[in-house]
Amino acid sequence: MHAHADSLLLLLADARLPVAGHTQSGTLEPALAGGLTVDDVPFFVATRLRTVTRVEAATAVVALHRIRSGLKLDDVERAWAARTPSPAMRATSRTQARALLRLTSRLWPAPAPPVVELVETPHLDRLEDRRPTSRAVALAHAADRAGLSPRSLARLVAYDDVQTVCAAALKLVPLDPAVVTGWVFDALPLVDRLADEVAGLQLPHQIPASGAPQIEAWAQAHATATRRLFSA
Amino acid sequence: MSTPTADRVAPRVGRTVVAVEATGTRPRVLVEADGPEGGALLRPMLLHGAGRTARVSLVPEGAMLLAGDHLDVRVDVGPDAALEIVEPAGTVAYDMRGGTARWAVSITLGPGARLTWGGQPLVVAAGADVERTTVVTRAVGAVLALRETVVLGRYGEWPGALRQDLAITGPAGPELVEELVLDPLNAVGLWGRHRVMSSVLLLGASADGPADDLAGDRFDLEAGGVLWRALGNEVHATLRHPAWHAARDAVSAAGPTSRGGPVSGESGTVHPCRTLPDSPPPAATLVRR
Repeated sequence: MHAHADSLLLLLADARLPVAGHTQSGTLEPALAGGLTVDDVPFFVATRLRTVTRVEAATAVVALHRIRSGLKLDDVERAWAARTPSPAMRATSRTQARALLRLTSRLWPAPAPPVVELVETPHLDRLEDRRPTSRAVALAHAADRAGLSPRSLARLVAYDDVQTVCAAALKLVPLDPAVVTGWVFDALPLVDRLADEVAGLQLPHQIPASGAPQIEAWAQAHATATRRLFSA
Repeated sequence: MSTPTADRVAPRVGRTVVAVEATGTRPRVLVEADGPEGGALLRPMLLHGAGRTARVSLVPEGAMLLAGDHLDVRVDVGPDAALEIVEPAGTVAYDMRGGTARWAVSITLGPGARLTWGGQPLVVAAGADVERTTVVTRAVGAVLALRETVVLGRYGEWPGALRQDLAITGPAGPELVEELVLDPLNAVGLWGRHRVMSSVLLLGASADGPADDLAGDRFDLEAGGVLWRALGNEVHATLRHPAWHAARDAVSAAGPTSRGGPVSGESGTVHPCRTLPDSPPPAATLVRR
């Protein structure tokens, strides 16, 4: 008996999923330390959806297409890495990917998805220098197993990002949870729009490269911060 | 009724070509500039060349950037050749009253080529609307050091609009791809409360330095190479000279060990500027070492 894709989407979007989502703030913690105010958080969420989260959602969609077409994922990883200049953000993504791939192999044991998708990097020959897969590609593996559509996968990436930032805001600043849920509610049309924009992408070079220098700088600063609540 | 389309003129294309080949012991340098009368143009002037290295200055001609200006710069560095590009002055993109300007740079680096390009600030004044694209194709062993500084708005002024696309492809695929769409509305989201972004990019070589005080600005790229990038509010405080020096040193260090003799403007080594009159041939600006 198979679960409906809608039910599986709910499962994958659930913060209680054991993939250490509670360790993530979507760069909100360094942003608040760097001068962002609480009132700016909805704007911050919208900026992420237009930039870094757009890159991640599009990467996931292209990866899903390639998984379903039986194509290699190296080009997708490389395209994502070229669009993610911050090493801290790449490392965070890969840490999350490991947990996601472990869970995916547990839920859909056969045939097993690769726990670590080895990507050959041009300047590195040694096996230990090869990089594990990104979170976007790990989510694409889960989406493939769950039978999600590309649009649902993009929506999952975007929604998760909004919830990650907003849930972190509640831990970092005293706020009424209903207000924060209102921020998520207000961001949903942006989530939908992003899903519509990227759902049809199939080729790595089509992945948008919308950077966000300030967010990337905050991510780098946070990687070396000593007093922090969230890992990223 | 006044029309906001007054500045929507047909684009005036100013084309610039700088091509360097390492032929034996002397670089062969081709510089070309071609543009309409009074239009914006970056005129390449050969400053000097020694060994396999040529040094070219991109001298702005005409008021720039104005609505309708379209700068098209092509730089081609052949196998094992080396080129250094300098800019004598920064550029201000002025209020375009609904018009737009475009600045397209295309760089091709052959195997073992080396390019150092120390760009000066581009100031995007209120009302300016600029599309800037930089496309780099880097062959195996090619090294690039590129400095860019963008300022949104003159002091105390609203930012203009800038769409900046960067696409660098190396021998194994894309190395750095970035699209920044900056306008008065979303600039604060992308840059925070800053108006200056300065970056130094080093590709094809590694750099250990500079010291720790720039560690927060340092982005080690997946494909190798480093991007130093700083956001700030004053150009002088945002420029990272140590990072630029480190990148330039890394390019020099990557050079071939055998050095040839001095470059010469004679016997067809240097091609004169074409199309525009009254321009001194680059051989005249050649400095013999």
